[in-house]
Amino acid sequence: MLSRINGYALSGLDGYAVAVEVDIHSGLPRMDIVGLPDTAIKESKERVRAAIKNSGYDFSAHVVTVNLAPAHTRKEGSVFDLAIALGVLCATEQAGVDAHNRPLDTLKDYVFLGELSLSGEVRKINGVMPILIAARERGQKKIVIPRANANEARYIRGIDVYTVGTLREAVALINGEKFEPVEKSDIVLTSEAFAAEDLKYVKGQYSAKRALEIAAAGGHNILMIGAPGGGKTMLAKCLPGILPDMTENEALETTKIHSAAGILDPSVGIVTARPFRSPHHTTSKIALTGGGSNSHPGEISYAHNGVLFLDELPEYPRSVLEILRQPLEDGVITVSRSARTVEYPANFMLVASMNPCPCGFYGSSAHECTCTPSQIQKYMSRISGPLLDRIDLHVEVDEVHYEELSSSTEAESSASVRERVNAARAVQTERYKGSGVYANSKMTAEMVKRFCALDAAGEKILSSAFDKLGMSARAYTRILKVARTIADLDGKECVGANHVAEAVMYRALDKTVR
Amino acid sequence: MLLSDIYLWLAYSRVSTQKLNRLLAVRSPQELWNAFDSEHKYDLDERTFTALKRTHSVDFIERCKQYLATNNIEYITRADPLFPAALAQDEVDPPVALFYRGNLDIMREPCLAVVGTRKASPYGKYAVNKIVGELSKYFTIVSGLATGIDGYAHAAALDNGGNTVAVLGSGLFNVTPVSNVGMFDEICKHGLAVSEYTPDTHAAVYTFPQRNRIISGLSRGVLVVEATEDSGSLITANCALEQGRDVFAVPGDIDKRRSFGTNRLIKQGAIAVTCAQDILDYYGVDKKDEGARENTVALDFSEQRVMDALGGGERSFDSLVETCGLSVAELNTVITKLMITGLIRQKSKNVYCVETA
Repeated sequence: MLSRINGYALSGLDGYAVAVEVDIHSGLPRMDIVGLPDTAIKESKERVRAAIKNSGYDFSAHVVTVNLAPAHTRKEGSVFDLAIALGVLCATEQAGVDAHNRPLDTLKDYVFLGELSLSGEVRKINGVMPILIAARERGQKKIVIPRANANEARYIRGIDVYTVGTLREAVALINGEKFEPVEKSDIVLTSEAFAAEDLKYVKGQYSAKRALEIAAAGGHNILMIGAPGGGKTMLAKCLPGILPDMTENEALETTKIHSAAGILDPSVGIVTARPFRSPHHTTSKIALTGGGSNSHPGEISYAHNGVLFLDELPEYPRSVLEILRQPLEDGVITVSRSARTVEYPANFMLVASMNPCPCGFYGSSAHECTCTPSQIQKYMSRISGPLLDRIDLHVEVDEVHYEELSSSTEAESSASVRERVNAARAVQTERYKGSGVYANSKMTAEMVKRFCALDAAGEKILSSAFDKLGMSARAYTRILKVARTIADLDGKECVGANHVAEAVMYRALDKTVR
Repeated sequence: MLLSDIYLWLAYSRVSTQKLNRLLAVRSPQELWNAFDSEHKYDLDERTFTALKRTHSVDFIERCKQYLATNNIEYITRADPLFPAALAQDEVDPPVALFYRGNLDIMREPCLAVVGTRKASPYGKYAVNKIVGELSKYFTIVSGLATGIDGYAHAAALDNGGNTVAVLGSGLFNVTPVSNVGMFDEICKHGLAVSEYTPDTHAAVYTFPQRNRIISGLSRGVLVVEATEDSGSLITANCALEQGRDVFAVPGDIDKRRSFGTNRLIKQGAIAVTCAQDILDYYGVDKKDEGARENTVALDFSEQRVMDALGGGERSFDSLVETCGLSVAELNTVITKLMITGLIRQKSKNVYCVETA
């Protein structure tokens, strides 16, 4: 007998329909799965066999051939377990047949996703959210997913999602028992931020704190340079607490990636706080960009719409850093492997920290640097000019001179900074509506021209800054973008001389590297 | 045989200048050349003899001259009346020849050597830019084309349109460090690069201390900007003393190793220099009139407040925020504006101070 169950598979962040065909005929018992399965799928025959048996169904000796169509694309993962098991049950007429053993038509309407345990339980799978979205776009009306993934389905409207906890339940469903689809709900974007540290506990460092505020408001990449013990890492940890709220679109985009990668919290089912990823400097290129044999997303895609924090930037291999250049510019990363080419969004804000030299004290007022000039040069040259060009804000973070700090009042808290950041981001969202740009940092050249027009006083400050402070011309657009964000924080329509003057302060490397 | 050719022979023999000068003290160059014609070994040791013998050929000297000409390298020997008189003094241990590229005339103008550590701090860089920038209008700045203070001194002179002489510790084809090759080319074009070594000579540990005597020898005085206690710049200062040149030193923090050398020089009697005027006064040079500097910049309220706060010395950004009662955004703006007008400068990371005139 032949049966056919609908499945779905992921290619990158896009899903495609897979027909699971099961044929059973007599012969020496054997089960074959064809259609370019990976090891996880090949092993699924063991899970399927045990799950069917332990759910109280019969799996007697037959020749079972399973085909995953289209047969020419490589399939991976354990999402087909449920479909294969149901296929076997339907082919052996233990499910999906009416009282006269005629196949039920309803079967065609459903798509089945799920991994099986040996006991017949249906377990959580990765990538439910992108599959649901893809299935909806292709006109699929009903889909069955593991109950553990129910939360991810709550936010996808226009498709009926049923959840099952065991193989028996799935059989009951196709046999026509009444199941209620998952109840839909609106995306509730918590305005609560989960930060490891709060800005109010950072004493002094006013300049750096202000730079973080500007960076958060405009989505600018930021580089903190300073001696060890200056608090760079602590400042970076404060950042999640002042990032602006996510918009609904941003939340869905990020959730899609996290769902596909399997790092989504199943109890929430959606990412509502901007992701903060800090891969260690031993990270590999593939781990950062995504790739591998199955082209999975990397850290920069996990950080989509959030922050990628690279602590001790020069410690990262240069080859790893250089691959950030294109995603920083385009906001997407295209991962091409022989099997497939996948595009992952990677619109992240780069936050990096570094010492000015190997010993860390170059230019510090408290300690003397013991490095030779060539050591310093070598250290700095690990970060290429093109990469530095993509970083809008450079801020120097030196040790705090506590004896100079008199004020005992507690510093401003992250929450109140966040309010200003949110207000500034709202202005930007309104300004760039419909252009696909979310923040000032992503302005196109044309937008810079339109929205960052300077008056005479601003031009004068900028040109004399280039003149007197030895800034490089590369910094021009960066300064304008940052000045735009400062003006937004200030609630001003136009970029003024004051805003430009402040933006100039945050180009430390341009000034020192002369 | 021309006298200058004989000197060139001596230079190409690569016998050390010290040894050559000892030889030349007893007999004239001509005698030496003739003595080799007749295979006379005199009292020369084996190595010196073979070295001199090896290069003792009219043909060889002619080929050397041709080589220098095709490679655009000029040379001047002690036989030349244009050979700098300051270098010809016995105390200097004068080189037999100098190989150079650039304009030799600037060497005969009053020269001032500026030397210091290769590991310059931002303070050293600042001191060089401030003092040498001004001095280069009156003096030819002589230095050693090393990284750090030397490089800053050359750059400050070039930037201000002054003259500068680079005395290399290697042949002109082997500029060391390689990172300064760009500056070397610039100096060849707008100044003078000289070396007592034949162009193909590689730098060695001993060549740098040797050339230091030429740096001080060329100059009326030596300004040491930043030096550790074991710095090579102190060799230059010692040479200067032996040669009867003046030694100037820029004082530094007493707790910074990079100032130990200069501070010790001052203790030993070097002239402390805090501005270009100190040196100009010492030599009685009249300051060129540049017209009144427009010093009257109208400051607004908040700028005045920052200037007042900085009046008592250097302040960190953090303490400025707390004392001036300005928001961080305002303070950022004010500092940029004050730095552009040149009233304040960044001393180190996030630390600012008033720019002294």
